[in-house]
Amino acid sequence: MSDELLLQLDGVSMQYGKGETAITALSGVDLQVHAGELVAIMGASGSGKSTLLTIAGGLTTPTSGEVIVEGEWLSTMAAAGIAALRRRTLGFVFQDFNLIPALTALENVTLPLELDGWKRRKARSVGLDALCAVELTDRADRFPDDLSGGQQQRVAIARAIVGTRRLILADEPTGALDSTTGEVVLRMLRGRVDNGAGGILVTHDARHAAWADRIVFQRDGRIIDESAVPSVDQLLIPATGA
Amino acid sequence: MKPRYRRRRSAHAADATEPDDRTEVSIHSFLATRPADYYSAGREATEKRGRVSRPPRPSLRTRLARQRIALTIARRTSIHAIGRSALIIAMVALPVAGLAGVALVGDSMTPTVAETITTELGNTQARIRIVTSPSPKMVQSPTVQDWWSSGPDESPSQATELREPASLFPAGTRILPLYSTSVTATTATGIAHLEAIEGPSWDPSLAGHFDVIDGRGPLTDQEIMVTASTLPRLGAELGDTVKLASPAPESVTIVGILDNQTESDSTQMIFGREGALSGKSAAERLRQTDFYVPDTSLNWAEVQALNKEGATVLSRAVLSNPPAPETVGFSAPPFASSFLILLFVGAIAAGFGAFEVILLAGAAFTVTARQQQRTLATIASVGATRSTLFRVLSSSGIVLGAFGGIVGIAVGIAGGAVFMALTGEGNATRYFGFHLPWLLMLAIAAFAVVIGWLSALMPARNASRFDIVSALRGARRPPVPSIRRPVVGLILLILGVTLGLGGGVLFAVLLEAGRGVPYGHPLLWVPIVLLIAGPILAQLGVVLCGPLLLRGAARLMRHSGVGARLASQDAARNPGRSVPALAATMTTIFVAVFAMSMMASAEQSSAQHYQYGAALGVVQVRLTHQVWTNDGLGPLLRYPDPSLVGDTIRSSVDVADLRILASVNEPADILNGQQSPALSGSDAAKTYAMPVIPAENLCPSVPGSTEYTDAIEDPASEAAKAARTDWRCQDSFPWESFGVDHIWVGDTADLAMILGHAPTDDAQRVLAEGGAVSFYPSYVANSQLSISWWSASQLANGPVLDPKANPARTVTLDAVVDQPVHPLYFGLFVSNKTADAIGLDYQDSMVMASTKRMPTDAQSDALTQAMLNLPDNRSSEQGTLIAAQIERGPAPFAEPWVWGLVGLSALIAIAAAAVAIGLARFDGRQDDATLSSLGAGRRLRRNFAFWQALVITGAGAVLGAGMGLVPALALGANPDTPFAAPWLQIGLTAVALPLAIACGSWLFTRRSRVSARRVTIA
Repeated sequence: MSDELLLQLDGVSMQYGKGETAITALSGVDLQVHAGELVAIMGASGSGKSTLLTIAGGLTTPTSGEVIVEGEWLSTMAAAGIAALRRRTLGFVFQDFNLIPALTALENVTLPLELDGWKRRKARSVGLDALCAVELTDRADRFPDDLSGGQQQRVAIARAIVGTRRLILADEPTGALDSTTGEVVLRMLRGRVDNGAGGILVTHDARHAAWADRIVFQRDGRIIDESAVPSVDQLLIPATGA
Repeated sequence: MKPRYRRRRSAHAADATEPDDRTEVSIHSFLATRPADYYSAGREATEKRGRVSRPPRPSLRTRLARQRIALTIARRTSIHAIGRSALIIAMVALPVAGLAGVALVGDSMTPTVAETITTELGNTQARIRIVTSPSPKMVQSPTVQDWWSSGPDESPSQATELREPASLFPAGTRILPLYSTSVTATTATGIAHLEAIEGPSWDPSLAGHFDVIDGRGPLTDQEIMVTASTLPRLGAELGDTVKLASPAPESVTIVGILDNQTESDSTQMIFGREGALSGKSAAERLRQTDFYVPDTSLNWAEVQALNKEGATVLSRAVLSNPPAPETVGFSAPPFASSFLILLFVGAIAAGFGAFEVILLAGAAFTVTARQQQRTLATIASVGATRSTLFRVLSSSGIVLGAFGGIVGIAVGIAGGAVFMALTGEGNATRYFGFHLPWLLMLAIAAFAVVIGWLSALMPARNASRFDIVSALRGARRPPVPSIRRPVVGLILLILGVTLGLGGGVLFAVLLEAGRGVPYGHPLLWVPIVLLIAGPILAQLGVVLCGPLLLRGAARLMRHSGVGARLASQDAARNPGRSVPALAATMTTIFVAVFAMSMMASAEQSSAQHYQYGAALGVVQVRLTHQVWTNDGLGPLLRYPDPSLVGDTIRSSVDVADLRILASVNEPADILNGQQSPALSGSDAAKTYAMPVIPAENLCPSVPGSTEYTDAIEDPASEAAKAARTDWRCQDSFPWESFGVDHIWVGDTADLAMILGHAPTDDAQRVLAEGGAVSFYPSYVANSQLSISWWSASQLANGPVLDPKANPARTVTLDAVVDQPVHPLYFGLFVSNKTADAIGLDYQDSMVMASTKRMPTDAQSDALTQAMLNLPDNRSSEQGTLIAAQIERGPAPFAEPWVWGLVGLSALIAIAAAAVAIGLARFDGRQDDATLSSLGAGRRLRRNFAFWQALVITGAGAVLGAGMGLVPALALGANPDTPFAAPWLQIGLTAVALPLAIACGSWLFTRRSRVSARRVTIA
């Protein structure tokens, strides 16, 4: 893990509604993610895990607090600037993959690059590298409907890491996958993080959280506990050995 | 650990940097290339900038790249959702097909120069028409032969003789005279009047205009050619002999078949040599003859020289190479070809169609946007801006609009071609060729793209503003109701209705105040604009209030059954698809109701101005026939045998009573200022009886009235306004129509026949006592009326209305007024005894027969045929001498149109409802599945469908009907367009139609297809 800070959440709170019907999804959350660090967030349903992730990715504006991505204060940026940040700095991985069915695997991966004005040929080359990293080069021209769930999620990961992006925000990325495929996906995530990216992994599965460097426990919108994972390999040995 | 922030060189600088310069792929290599000063000191640095930072505008290439992605996604999504795409394509294609078809047909109706030459001239060089005597200042249009002038402020001289064409050309110049006439021929079933052309139509130089199909041209006056469809009418074949009854009885032989390219194939026509049919040469009827010059080419200078001789020319050389307009010195007629008119009408229809399509396709795009929300959210999650999201959906509109344009144009061209083939009837001047206006087609294709784009615009705007996070989770949230829109809508609605009504009132006021503000006056545009803008604003207001209205309906129905409650809630919570359907129904019904009201209004107006000839159902045969010649009135011919006419009527219709009426004939020729033998010689002393209008009963606006002033000629004057409501001015027949017999003679039964009802007791008494019955109150003063006898010279300048004039003699009779149900062209009635006593000269003038029931069309046809077959019932070229007329009252022309409008609006409303309901069902599949999982049966789904259709189309229909009545009501302020709403049809459209649609929706509700499959992202 590097000491380079990729993401910092500083006193972030999120409240939906007003008055008596107001719901507090997050309350004064502080969180830091460094380069080469994978942070797992665990908690029960409604604890605010996904809200935290969308706030970190600039999809939702917090009620209060600051979000700093690679030194950029999101509260000072216009929507177009935050969109540019999503094109260049951070990538989402969703439980339901959220690939665009009208685009091929490669087109899905190169989408953020092309939206950013990259030349098509160059974007395609970079996209193929990303697909190569998730071992899906031979499926580049397939449409999502022609891919298995695991393959779709690997495409989603390739999209999240393509180009200059180095902050991965994964929301239950293995939720729709079987355990074997899920492990492959997690291994890839881990690999990207080990190569210098940073990431947040929202999960409710302790075995998946074990892939992280740090586990943050959340309840009722607050971080109630945080612990480091000593060795991922140690945690994996019993599972893979069984 | 103290956090260490890295300063980005500038996110925005990075935007500005050519992205293509970044060749790094791996994260490590990227990090390695970052400069040391890339990292910032955090927020403080940002705050120093003093404002929210915005990235620079993306480069053109970036924007193009985003548009390309949007088009790619749009294209593939359209193919993926083929059903929905096909629906939108079909909707766009419909008005486009209409427009393309109209453009094709319209352009094909407009001839090119070459086609004009062929159809007008054949292979000849020019066509000459002698229109006036030589006139040195006469000029003509180079291309339009009938557009000419004899010179500024100078009417053509009548003093000199017309020039014969032969005298205008060098000796030996070949000239072909063609003269249109008619003949009466013996047909297979009787006799018939047929059009005829005399002259060498079969000459090879006229090929293209007249084509010989079979046989040869006539060589003698006893030989004719005919069109192909004339043969079956004559019951003859090529080589047969047929009998002509007039102009002169003779037998002629058919020696050839000729096709007149300027007439349809069904035209029945006979062709003979010059003078063979009429017995007259071309020289005797110069004005009515077309002279074709086959061999002599005429340039513009020669045409101008011929103009000075009183001839107009259509020249091949001039048509091919017309002179510059500025050198002509005479403007051509304003260009208002049938093509432009058709295009204008087509554009209005297409505009309305496009509006409907934009609404309905917009609803389809709303559903598409909802189905695509997750895709759009995903695109947003990878860094797309809202403008990119907008592009993705609006590009769908462009793609589907383009497809719709291609399909529509193809269908329009095919449909237009079929239409022309079916209606061309071999007439080369109906469709001059297959003219495909490519530029116009391209414009129509662009129009289709615009329709598609406009349809997707609002859904795309809404889709670009949705909650991305919710969409990523697959959650569906109803739109937040706007408070501002209903308020704006209400203001627009009130403003629109006010403007519409105000426009109508202003229209009426301007016309009333002016009576001199003519139609077409620029001032009249103000109310017209108000009348158009008002309903449009009002409808826009209703559309903006639509969501509120639907929520109101849902609130009203909250205590109804489950189906009604669910349906009303569904409509209220999904305004994106329900409001466009409501609006589409509303605009359709609006147009239909307005058009229906205008039709009914026109019919009522027409009925108000209808002049009855007799009572309803009465058959009327006037026994006299006024001959008209080119010089004006000719002789008055009289059919000699009224009894035979009566028998003919009895043989054809169910007669209740039949009377032969006598009248005092008025000298129409003298009263119309014609030269008459009565004005000189022995007849000069003859006097003519006419009823007198007492001075106090004469309309003040009639010159001769003691109350007449010059001021009354000003329509805006108080005197003129007062005259318009004065009882003496209501019926103009007594003081305006002369030359039509006013005094009628007979017994009580004859009087009853004219009146259409039994005479009053007073009328019968006065008639028996030697008095007169007046059909108009203006003849009677102090229970008496007068009849005066005038000399021909006194009548020569028109009817004598001056009370100071001295007639030859005057008789005063006791009189009563007994008016027919409708004003008729009969003035007063006296008995034969009275007529003889006062010396009236009367003769049988009319046969009238009342009928037991209104004659059928078959009886009418039989009567017409029987009248044609009457002996001696013809008068040379004037056609028949006498003919029967059946008084059927004003023709109810509006009803078929109104029913047609009901049908058309029903079709469009059904289509709109089908689209709306289909989309709602597609959109509500998950709800349907949920309902099924809760045990809801088919009955509930049917109730749901019934109420869904009723709420949407019912609201649209009622609102549309209300809106449609506003301009009709406003125009009703003008007496010329009285408000007349066909309530039955409006009721059917506003109430029965939505109910029928709802019932259809109930009937065609399919079983639920519960699917465990998740709704796909796209």
